[in-house]
Amino acid sequence: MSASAYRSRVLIIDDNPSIHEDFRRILAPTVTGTDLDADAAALLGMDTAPVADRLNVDLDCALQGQEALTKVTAARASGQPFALAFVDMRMPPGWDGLTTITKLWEVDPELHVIICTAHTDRTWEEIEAALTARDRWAVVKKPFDKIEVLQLAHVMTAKWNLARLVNAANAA
Amino acid sequence: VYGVPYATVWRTFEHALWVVFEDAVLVWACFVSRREMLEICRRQDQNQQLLDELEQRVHDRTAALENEMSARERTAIALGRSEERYRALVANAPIGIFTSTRSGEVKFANPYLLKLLGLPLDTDVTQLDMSDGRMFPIAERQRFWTRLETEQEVRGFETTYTLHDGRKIDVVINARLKSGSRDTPALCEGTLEDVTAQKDAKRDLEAVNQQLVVASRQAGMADVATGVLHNVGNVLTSVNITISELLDRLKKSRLTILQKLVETLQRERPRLATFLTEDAAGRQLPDFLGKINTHLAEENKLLRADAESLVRHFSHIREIIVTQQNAAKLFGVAENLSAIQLVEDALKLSADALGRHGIALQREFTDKAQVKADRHKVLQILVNLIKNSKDSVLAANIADPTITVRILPPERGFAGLVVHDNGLGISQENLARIFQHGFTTKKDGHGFGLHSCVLAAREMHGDLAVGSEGPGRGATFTLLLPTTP
Repeated sequence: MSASAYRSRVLIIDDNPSIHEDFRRILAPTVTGTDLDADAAALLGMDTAPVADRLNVDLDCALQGQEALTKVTAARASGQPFALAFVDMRMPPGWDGLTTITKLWEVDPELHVIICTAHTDRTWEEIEAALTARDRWAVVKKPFDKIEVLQLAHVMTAKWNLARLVNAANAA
Repeated sequence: VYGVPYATVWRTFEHALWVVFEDAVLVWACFVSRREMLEICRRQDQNQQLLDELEQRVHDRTAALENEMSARERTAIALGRSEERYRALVANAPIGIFTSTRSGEVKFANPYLLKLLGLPLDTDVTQLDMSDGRMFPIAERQRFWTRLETEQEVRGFETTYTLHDGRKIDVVINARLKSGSRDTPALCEGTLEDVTAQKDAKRDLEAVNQQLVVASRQAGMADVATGVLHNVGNVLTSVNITISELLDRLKKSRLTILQKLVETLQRERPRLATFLTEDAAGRQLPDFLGKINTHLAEENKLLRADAESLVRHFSHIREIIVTQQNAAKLFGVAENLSAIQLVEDALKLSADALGRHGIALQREFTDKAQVKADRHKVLQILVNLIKNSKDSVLAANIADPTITVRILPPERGFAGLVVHDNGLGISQENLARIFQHGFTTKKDGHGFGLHSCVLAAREMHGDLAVGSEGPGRGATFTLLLPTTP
């Protein structure tokens, strides 16, 4: 199964708006020139460059944990829950990342989370102890590379979709 | 008498007469005696009564005397006991008790005092002489007596005694002056306590406090370092992403299509006119060329945007690093600094936190004062004050959170750097305690921040003042720094 098979909702939670922009560039890049490629193939006999499997996501952003909770709650209620959330650890003045994740899981336990941080005021031991659903979270350290985030997004959204398929099959 | 016959009648008659006379006398005498007897009896009664009375009085008096005697005895015993207690108290009290004169003679010293001063218990205290200043330094003794004579009573006089063995002890003296007369000198009666242990404890406490101050300064520095790490981390992420996007765009540039088109046209050169007018593909080429042009222009625009954002990110990083280097440089050295520059640097260090929360910043720089200060300390204080103001306006949850920074014109050799906010404000009682070590109103505060700020300000021969009109009415902190002449 590829990530593009289903459209997944992804939430970026970071107190820095420029980080939102970075995620947007990685996960939903502006792609240009595809129609040009078709013309070039037809008129000039050029090989079309193999199109990479694109991530099929809807992005949403939140500056604070509280705002994220509102969005996740609303999404869950509307039947279009978020598959994945990227969460910063340090988000003054509101909740820190760990608190945010705990609160999010209270309303949506299926949500997958990627902790994305440069510095955390919590120790990893604390985080490990608090986030017991170990198969639903991963860590990326800032400054991150595009490929790390992109691959994690692919893998996690695919995993989320598969889990939902399995659950649906079991329920049927 | 009556039956005796006498010789003659006359004799008998005479005899009878004598008998009658005698009897008459006897009868009279009897009466008199009786009367006297009665009188005697009466007197005797009287005497007896008097005697009884006397006896009663003697008895009463004896009882009274006895009472009086026992009361006196009791008093005497009690007095004796009390004196004994007093002696025991003076002798055993765990405090030195003494009487001395202005000239340094010691009139009395209790055993505890002798022990305290390292003297044998059988020392003749009258031989002690304090006037030489060996134990009680002359200047200190002078100071003590001056106070005693002006105030009559001195409490908590702290000084240091040097004992005969060279040991130094910290003592506290409480004393009062007993005025003298023409013949007797004024006496100082007092107690003397060894507070060396307390003093040592206090010194230890101060050392610990000092360590805490250092620790809190380091914590402050760590705060700044953490902030820098966070900021640089964020910017580097953006740089990374922009670079990889830039590379991606360059790799996927449709310039290759233009190259291919040029190759095709070169190949068709001998019949170029026919190719462009007759060939199915050739006829579409002018339009295609137009599309390529549009696309490449767009591509170029995106590449330029990426390049510009890279430049912006790098200048941001440079700014963070330069501010940090300036903060770190010339650590601990007082130098001549521009007040405006100091405030601007502090604002730069705090910019991230302020900008993110939409707090308005007002600068009221009416003066270009030069101050003599330690740059690191000033920045630490200002960053701390700005952070407090930020926390306060955010916690107050007001519509127009504003922080105003001012530079006051020098007055009496001090320039004022003011951080004012319209946040929570400070109550009257908290104003008094706000600089205290360990005082905080924040839930996760440690109460070292302002304390170490005021210490740092004083280390620079300046000061830190606070003002607030009360809760909900904002607060003003003024850092006073000495100006350079």
